[in-house]
Amino acid sequence: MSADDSAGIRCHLDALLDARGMTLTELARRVDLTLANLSILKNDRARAVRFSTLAAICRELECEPGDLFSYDPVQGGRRGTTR
Amino acid sequence: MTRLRLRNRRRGLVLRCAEVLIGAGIVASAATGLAHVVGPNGLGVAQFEPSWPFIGSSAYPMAVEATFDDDAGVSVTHAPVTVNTSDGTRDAATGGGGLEIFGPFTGRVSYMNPSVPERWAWVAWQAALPLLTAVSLIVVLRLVRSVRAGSPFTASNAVRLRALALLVGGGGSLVSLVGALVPNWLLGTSGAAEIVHLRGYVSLVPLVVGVLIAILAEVWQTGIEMDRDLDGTV
Repeated sequence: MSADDSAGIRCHLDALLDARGMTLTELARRVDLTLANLSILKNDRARAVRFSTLAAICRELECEPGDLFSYDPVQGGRRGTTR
Repeated sequence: MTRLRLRNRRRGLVLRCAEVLIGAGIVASAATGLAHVVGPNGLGVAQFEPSWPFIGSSAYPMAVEATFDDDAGVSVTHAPVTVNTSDGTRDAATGGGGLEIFGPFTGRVSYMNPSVPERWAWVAWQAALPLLTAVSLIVVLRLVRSVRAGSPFTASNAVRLRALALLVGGGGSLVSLVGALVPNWLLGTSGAAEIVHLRGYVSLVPLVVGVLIAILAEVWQTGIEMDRDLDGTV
């Protein structure tokens, strides 16, 4: 899996965890996701996110989906994936 | 412990047990098949007493199970005696319902001095099914191991399933055909040809099971493609 798979979507999980004083391991335990998969999301290597995963993260971090992700038009235009 | 970890631990335990059982099946099948090949009726490399029904059987004289014709002269000399009573026909010994014993009778035709082609045809017939079973179980074991490793939907497993379909459907049908032809040939060319009933039955079960496994292989291929689509989904 390469960084191209993120299609320009940036994940700000690091910043949100720092702001709430929570570790990635703790969040993985709370949302019932493996640490490996949460790391994939944090490092912008995920290709897709389930709504259930998104809802669980927003619930635990008390944030909105828009706080978690942003779109980088430069990355998205340069490395846009096509199906 | 999270639900995911509990589920994974339970699955790992079940798969390990399955691996052990399959491994035992491989050893038993391979030993049975090889025992026929290296035993007294095969290469004669190993001589052993029949201490186990399926491993020691190759130490028995070369024999074929056969059904005797009605005019073969096979009879039962100590058949139960029946008597007519006011309650109907009764068994003289127990007083219960009357019994009658009649053929066809099944026995074993033993070959005391088989020729080399006869001996090797018999060995091939006896060894074919256990050896085919051992090879098929090896493929199944690799499939199960890949599930425990966490990645069953791989191209290798699709190939293994197709191979298993061929082994069971093609190999099994061939073993069934050999099982019909060899005893018929052995009995039909022997001195017992006039008194035994030659049978010729080829089972369709291996073919049907092979087709079902082939269908499963195609479903698996779809699973591989879906897994590829989901790769990287969290």
